[in-house]
Amino acid sequence: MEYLQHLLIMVMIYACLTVSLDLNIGHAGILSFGHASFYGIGAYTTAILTVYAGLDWFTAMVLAFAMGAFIAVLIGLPTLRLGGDYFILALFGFSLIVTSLIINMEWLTNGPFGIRGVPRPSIGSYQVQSGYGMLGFIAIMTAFIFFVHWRFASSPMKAALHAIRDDESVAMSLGINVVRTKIIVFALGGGFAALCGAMGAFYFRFVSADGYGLQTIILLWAMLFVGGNCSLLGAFVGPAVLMLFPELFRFIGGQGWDIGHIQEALYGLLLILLMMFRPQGLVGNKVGLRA
Amino acid sequence: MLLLQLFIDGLASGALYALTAVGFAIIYNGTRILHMAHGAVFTAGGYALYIAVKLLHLPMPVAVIVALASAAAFGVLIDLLVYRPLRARKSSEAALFIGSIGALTLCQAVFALIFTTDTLYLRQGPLPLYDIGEISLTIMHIIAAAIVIVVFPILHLFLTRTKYGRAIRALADNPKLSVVRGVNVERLYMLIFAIGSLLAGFAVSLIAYDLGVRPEMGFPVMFVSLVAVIVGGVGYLPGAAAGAFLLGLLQNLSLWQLSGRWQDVVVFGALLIFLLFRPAGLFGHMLSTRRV
Repeated sequence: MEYLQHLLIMVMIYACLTVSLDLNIGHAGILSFGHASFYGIGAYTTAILTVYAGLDWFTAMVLAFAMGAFIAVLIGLPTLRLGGDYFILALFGFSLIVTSLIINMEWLTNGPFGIRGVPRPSIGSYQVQSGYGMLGFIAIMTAFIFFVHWRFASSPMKAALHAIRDDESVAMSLGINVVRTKIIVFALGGGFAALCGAMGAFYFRFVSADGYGLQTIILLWAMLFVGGNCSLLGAFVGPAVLMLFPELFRFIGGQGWDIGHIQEALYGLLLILLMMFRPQGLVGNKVGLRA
Repeated sequence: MLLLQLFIDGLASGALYALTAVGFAIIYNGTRILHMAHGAVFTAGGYALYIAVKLLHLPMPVAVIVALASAAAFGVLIDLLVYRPLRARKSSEAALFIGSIGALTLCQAVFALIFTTDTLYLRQGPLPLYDIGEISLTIMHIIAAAIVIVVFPILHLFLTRTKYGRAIRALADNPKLSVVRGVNVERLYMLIFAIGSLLAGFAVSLIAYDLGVRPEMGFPVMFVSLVAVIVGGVGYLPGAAAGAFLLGLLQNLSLWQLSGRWQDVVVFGALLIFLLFRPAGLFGHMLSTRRV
């Protein structure tokens, strides 16, 4: 039962991350190949503020969101003007630098050892414990993040974003401020990813430098494209399929083989096959980024 | 004299980056695919060398030829199995990029399943050193220099003097016009992938012999090469080589003041600075179109 709770929580955290990535890739066509870094920035901000600075969980979480959005603006201002491939590369460079800084700035991040003892959230006198309490907390956060995205999907901003994604020059000729709109949505994506980092930090009570690099980036992209972009349902289906599929595999029995590598091989194969046969994802519709 | 030694080391690693970077640039300019799986091709060459040397007990020159051929074949295979079907359904560049990421992930995982994640060594002990004055060279420095001096002029002659070389340049310059002029694009793509991957094969043969083979060894080298292509200026092959030497020097010279763990920051800091202040790269101003 505990394991099932863990799986559910993981699926929800990844669903929130996927939806924040979808905001960039699916709706705005911003191929953010460094999204995992904002997740890491959120997790570390939360851990540093609660463990070292002694702030309460809610302030820390809000500041984590702000930090993610702020750094996204900082990195987005110069790079969002770049063309597709350059942007992908710049963002990946950014993510390598973030990982390197986390490992090397020991005075702030405790280096490769990570930070332990992130407190669990508490509401009034109620202290959230592991198990159902944590499941409920993550579920409420997930509902909140999905609600915000659902509201977003019916806002005029979405139309502007889709116009930019489909044809930047046309969007510009329609009087849309392309760079400003992109920076806003990039900041929101970064902020929400950082919020997921805070959720992860509260759940694991521990943050460490690995887990925000290339593997996580690829995992997030795989989750987004398996589910299908521009789809809230897809943002749930992708993580659910990719998290639960390996469990199925464990069930059938693959002893002696390294589960992690089989998992990665499957992700890779899945990405290739999806692009060939179902580029809109399993449940996505065709309004998303044309893949 | 530490600085001079670091300078020599920087040139040697720059030479290796130059081989992968020029290979990457040929593929990128010719096909416009951000070929992340170039890293997997690189690693495949390394494992081919390992198999040839350790399992088949071939003599070294033959083993290197096997590795080169395997790398070239692997590159062509990725084009045939991944990129060609995607092109056939007129996929966007984003889809090709995702397919490429998929191929990279799949290959790395399969290498890890077959060969484990341990480093497989092709030789034991330190390499013999040749002391010249106060600097010391290994055989790797010398071979790297020799390969670059031999391979790049041959590549240049091929691209400028032969029918197929000219076709590759034409395709990079203007794909639509090349098709009109009767270039068989799909066949040319195979040639482009073969040549680009062959160059990676040279680099990996040296690195694998020197440092051994690991499943994820290709990725960092591939990524530095990609940065070199941008820093040098997309569309200009000597630019890619120059960018590679610049990054090799930068990486090694930075060791003079910073510890090795800051190397990622140095390389990608350079990339970000270039992207901000000179996105056209070192030689980008010299041309208005992309050329091989």
